[in-house]
Amino acid sequence: MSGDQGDQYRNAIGALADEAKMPPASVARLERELLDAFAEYYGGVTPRAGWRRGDWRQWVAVAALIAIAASIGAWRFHSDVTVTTVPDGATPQQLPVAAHDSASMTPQALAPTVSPISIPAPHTPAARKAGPGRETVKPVGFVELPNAAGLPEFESGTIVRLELPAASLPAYGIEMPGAADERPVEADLLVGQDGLTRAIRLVAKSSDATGARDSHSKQE
Amino acid sequence: MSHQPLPDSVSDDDLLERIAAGDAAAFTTLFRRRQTDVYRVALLMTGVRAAAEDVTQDVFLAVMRDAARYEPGRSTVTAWLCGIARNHARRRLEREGRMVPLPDEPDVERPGAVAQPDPLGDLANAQQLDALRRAVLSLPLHYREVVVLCDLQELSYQDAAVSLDCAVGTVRSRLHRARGLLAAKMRSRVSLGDAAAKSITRCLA
Repeated sequence: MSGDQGDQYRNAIGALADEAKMPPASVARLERELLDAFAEYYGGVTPRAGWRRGDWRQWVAVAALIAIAASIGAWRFHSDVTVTTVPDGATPQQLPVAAHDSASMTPQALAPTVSPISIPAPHTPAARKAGPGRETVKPVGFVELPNAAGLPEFESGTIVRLELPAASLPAYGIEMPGAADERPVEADLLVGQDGLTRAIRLVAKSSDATGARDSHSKQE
Repeated sequence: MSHQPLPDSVSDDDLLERIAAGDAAAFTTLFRRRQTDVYRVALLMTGVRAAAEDVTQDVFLAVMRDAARYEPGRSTVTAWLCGIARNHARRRLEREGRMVPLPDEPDVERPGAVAQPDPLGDLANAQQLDALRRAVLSLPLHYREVVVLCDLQELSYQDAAVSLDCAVGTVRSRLHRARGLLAAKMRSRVSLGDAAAKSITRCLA
């Protein structure tokens, strides 16, 4: 296309562009409908600096976080338990889990009276962290309590470590020769997701936290 | 619901930023400022006024949702809007098949239009424009859109490349080829006795 021809083309195409340069016939209706849609889309949202509703990357990040949290929650919920222990010197009478009527026990009730045990994270998948100061382990080596039969199936829960009088063990379904005295025995109680005690296991008596960790690790 | 448009001193980029934050006045302003450009691209792509209005609406709905996705500096707001209009027009054309333009559709009275003293000259011009419009609309889509964006909408090659999501060189080569096709189409009309195409063919030859 030569220079003149180029100019003529531009003139012709320019005329066509001018002809097409007009607002839509129903521009007023269009504007009204768009503004209604805009008000609905941003309804009740006060504009805030730095916040962009349409920023899809923010929504993707939020969705990813929700998905990760849901996955972790589902993972933790699968038949794992959290280990806690009672303070030294605590007696069963001070703790609702020690009561034979375990139906009244709830994790919420335990919270003020128990403290997390300081067990180093084992190298097994079953020992995932359940929160600050808590460890998640598989409940092994437990003996089911006599009154646990008929309770809802155990799904998740907490291990509460405490000292019991040896004489009280038969009430938990454990017979120990020569245990008919008030000598304290360290034990773990397995408390289910509904706050009801399901099982018990004895642990080696230890005088310090290291001993407790060692004994627990051996059982695991 | 009505919002006072913002002054001209507020740039298109700023308008989009405000729209992303839910500012209805900015949305109104951008619509009034750019709806003609969007509508023109849609009309020249589809050839049907009703479809062009739908596309215009779709474009501004997309702006409402995706204003935050606009990247200042990559292209102008007009080019970004034209790119959205092109995408919606393509989608509509693919969905509904090739649209047939309606040359006898009554023109909307344009504000500021002045009555011409030469009715015969008007007729000739109208026939020429109609012939050219038909030729543009009969171009394959990927040629039509470069003509619409570069020649009719007067976007730079760079902006057109962003709108079309292709390289600048591709825009150049397509435009060259499109102009050649336009010339050929107009020549064929002349051979069929379309006098109106004759003068345009001279331009494109």
